[in-house]
Amino acid sequence: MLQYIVRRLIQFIPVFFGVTLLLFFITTILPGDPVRLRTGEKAMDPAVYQELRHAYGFDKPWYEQYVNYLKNMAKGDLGTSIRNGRRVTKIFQETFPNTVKLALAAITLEIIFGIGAGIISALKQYSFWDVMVTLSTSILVALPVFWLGMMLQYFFGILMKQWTNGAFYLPISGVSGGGFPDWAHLILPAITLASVSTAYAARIMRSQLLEVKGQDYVRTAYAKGLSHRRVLWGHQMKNALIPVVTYIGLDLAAMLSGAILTETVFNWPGIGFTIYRAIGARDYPVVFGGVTLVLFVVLFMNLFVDISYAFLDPRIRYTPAAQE
Amino acid sequence: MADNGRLLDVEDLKMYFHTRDGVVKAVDGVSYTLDRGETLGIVGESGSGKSVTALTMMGLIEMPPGRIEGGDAKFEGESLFTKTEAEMRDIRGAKIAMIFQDPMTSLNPVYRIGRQIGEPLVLHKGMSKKAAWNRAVELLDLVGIPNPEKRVKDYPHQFSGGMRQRAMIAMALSCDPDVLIADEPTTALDVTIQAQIIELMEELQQRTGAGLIMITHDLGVVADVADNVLVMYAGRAVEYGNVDEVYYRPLHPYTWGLMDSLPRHDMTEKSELCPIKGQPPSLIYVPSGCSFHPRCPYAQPVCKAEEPEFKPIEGTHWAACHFAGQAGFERGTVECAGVSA
Amino acid sequence: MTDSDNTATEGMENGPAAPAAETPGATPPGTSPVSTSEPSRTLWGDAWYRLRRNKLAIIALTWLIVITLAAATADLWVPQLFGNPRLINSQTAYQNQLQLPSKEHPMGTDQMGRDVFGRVIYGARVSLIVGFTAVGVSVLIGLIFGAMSGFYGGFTDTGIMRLADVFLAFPYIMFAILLLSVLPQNWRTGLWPVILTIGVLGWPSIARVFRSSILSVKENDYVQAGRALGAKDSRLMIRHIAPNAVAPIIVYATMSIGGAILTEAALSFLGLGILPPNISWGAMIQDGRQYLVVRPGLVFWPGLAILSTVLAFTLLGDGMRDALDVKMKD
Repeated sequence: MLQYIVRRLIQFIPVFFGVTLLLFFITTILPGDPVRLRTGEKAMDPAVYQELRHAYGFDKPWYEQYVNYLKNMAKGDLGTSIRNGRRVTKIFQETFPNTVKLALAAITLEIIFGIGAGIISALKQYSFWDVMVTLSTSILVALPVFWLGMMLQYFFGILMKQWTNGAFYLPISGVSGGGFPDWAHLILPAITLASVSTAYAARIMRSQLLEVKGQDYVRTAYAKGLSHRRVLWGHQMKNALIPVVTYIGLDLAAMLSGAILTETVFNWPGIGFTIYRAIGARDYPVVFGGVTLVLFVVLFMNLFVDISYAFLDPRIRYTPAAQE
Repeated sequence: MADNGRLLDVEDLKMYFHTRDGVVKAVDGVSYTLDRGETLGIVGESGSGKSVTALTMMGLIEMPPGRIEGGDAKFEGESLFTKTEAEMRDIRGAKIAMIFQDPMTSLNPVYRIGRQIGEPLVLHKGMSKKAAWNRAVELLDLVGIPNPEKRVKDYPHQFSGGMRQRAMIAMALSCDPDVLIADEPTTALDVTIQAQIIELMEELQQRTGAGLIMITHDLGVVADVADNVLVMYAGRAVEYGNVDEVYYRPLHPYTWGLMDSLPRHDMTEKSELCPIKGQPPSLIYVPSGCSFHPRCPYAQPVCKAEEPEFKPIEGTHWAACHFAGQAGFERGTVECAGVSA
Repeated sequence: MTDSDNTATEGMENGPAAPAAETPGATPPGTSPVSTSEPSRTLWGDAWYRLRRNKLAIIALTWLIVITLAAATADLWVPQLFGNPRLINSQTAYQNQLQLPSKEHPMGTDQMGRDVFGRVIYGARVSLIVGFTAVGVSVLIGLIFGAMSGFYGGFTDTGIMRLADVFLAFPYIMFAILLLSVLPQNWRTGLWPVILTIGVLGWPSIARVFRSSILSVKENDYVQAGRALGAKDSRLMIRHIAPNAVAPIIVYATMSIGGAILTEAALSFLGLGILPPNISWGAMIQDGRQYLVVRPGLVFWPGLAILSTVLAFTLLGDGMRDALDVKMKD
């Protein structure tokens, strides 16, 4: 197991540097005018421009700049917002928790419905339910997520309100207000965010269960006199779940990485929404900072999932000892 | 519960698979009996239906697409096919236990050995987990695994092939079954380990007095351990008798072919091996009459027209051949009559 | 794994579940004939035959052909029947705005009085072009890198694979946002920025697929056999690799087009992708957002267009994969 973990860590390092290098390249080297990107489009005295350029270190050779770039990141310095002069790190510190809330809610939905649907599908293969699940998962992965969000908004927020004369409907934007408890605002965004992932999770769960079903050890279990239920929960699930858990772990990373589309649709003040507004306002430090943050979250969560796989699968946890 | 019936009594069992591509006659007339302390060897080529027969008896075949088409299999006098699923579950693992061919894939990779061995004990004997675990240690010792207290906590991939098979045997024996079915227990193992495993099974059988069914395509193994032998071909029983009869005075041309195809110790490099010509038939398109007739060097028109009955020819020695036991119908010389590779 | 050689023939051991029909060997006289199979065709003909039998894939293909034709010929019939889809600031247009679906306007009109159906058709043009071209770019880059990786091996291979890892570490959207926002304003017109961005993102997967095709052929027995017979390495590999690699790449590419269209729609929705005067489904949805309460159709129809097109590509890709399965399995 140690070997596995060390190997993963070793593989991680070049990727980490590669990613930061690429980020650095795109935000600093590639653009024609990195100064303007950070200070806005306003006209500027050439002398001031040169001063700024020097202050940012853009006149130094690229490798020095890269090292500074890394140093700044380590310090937590992601620049300053053009729009309101606040430190980018601080801006995201405030909005990150909101994204976490949303991501956790979505993951919970995904676990319950994704795994549940997958299990039922596999158990009743080819039944009406299975067909429904396969069909809806196919459709869900082809859906534009932001469109789904808006359709949900329309149906549950607007139509429902009309049809029930305001008796029952769901909040469609923001994190609070409108006479609703705070958690009610989570419902629609969480469903939207979870939708595509739930579809994939259900599919994976189903295919894993079916694959496990054909395994010899399942036959052995039956031969020992176990009932269908025992075989499913005792033997099949644990094997089938390993890839599913891995997938969901990676998914959490993806969700934490801003879910920019969902947040935009629902005006949910998380990382993604912040980035979106920064795009519109051409507030590039915030955009870059946001993308960097997202990237780091994804990178490290992926690494975490990779390593935790070693603990989940006994075949890796205990490296085989060949003895007779 | 039981009357004075034999331990196992299989009578003309037929089980077909009804698939999209046709009806697969996987088991097409198999009969044999088994008593306590007795070892039955079931031999045949791959695809002869020897494993499927055992699985059918244990109720481990999915029905549909499988279906019992006739015959019966009685355990201690009671038909296994009239039992409810719950009753069968009580029998599986406890009264009739099965050891499978490939121990690597037949053991669950994510559970420890101790737990897997103890599982039938918890299930059938109501033991506590702890008690089952301790018993598992004893069983591992019984099957000859060194350091059982330590190894019981291992996962299957930490065992070598031979040890895994021993663990499977331990698992099968845990509830003291009356019948032990070993499906190709040595095929996936090294030759040197094979001998050990066979010896182990013999020893355990003598100790527990269970009936042992050894399914294999290895004639040598059967000669070693079996009291009785059943030869199967294309899903049908073609010869049955005690081991001496079948090996020294075989009645069926297929058995002759099998014996002839064995490499002999007095062969030189120049000697040719003598396989049976042709291929085993598809179980969907089984040849008419005697299913062996297309490959039989002695076939006559009646062989194609009529299916021979599987009946006793000499006392307890049965065969399914129109000419078995007739005067002059004997095995040809070993010089491979009309063989092509 | 040894087995004592004392039986004449060995085949596959039957499992407990329904076994596949065993192929009869020499069919002795008097037995039933071998089951009829399709007349033998070329591998591609065979694949096409199997694809044809997949109803979903055929429906998908038909739908895509319909959309493509409609989009390709759009200039010939849309403005004539439905007015100028790019019209802005016209007096008469304002009189027409936000109409409900009717005979003249099957999907209604937007806030500028433009016919929604017409705009959806033009949006199809953009999406299809972007989808195909972007994937084309990915395939091109992917083939080159994959070939280098597979053929040269060693450091080149490791280097390229690490680079692929780096690209794959970026969530799609984020990377695209980064690239596009760095682009100066005057470079953002037209389709190419988006096409190139999406294209550049997609190469790692193609490269990997191609690389593994190459590697698997390298190891393959018939390549070794060819070598033993004296055939030159490179010729051998090209002849063997090409047919093997083509199939999975085609399947992957087809399904990627759906993903590319979704990404383009998302980028346009965020304001970074296709900008006016070009028409994009994603942008239409963004424009229609503010009118969601009164005219949900403005959002609904473009979204439905995206859904149906992407779904069609996915189903087609699935169908192609099943049809080519035999080839891909080796």
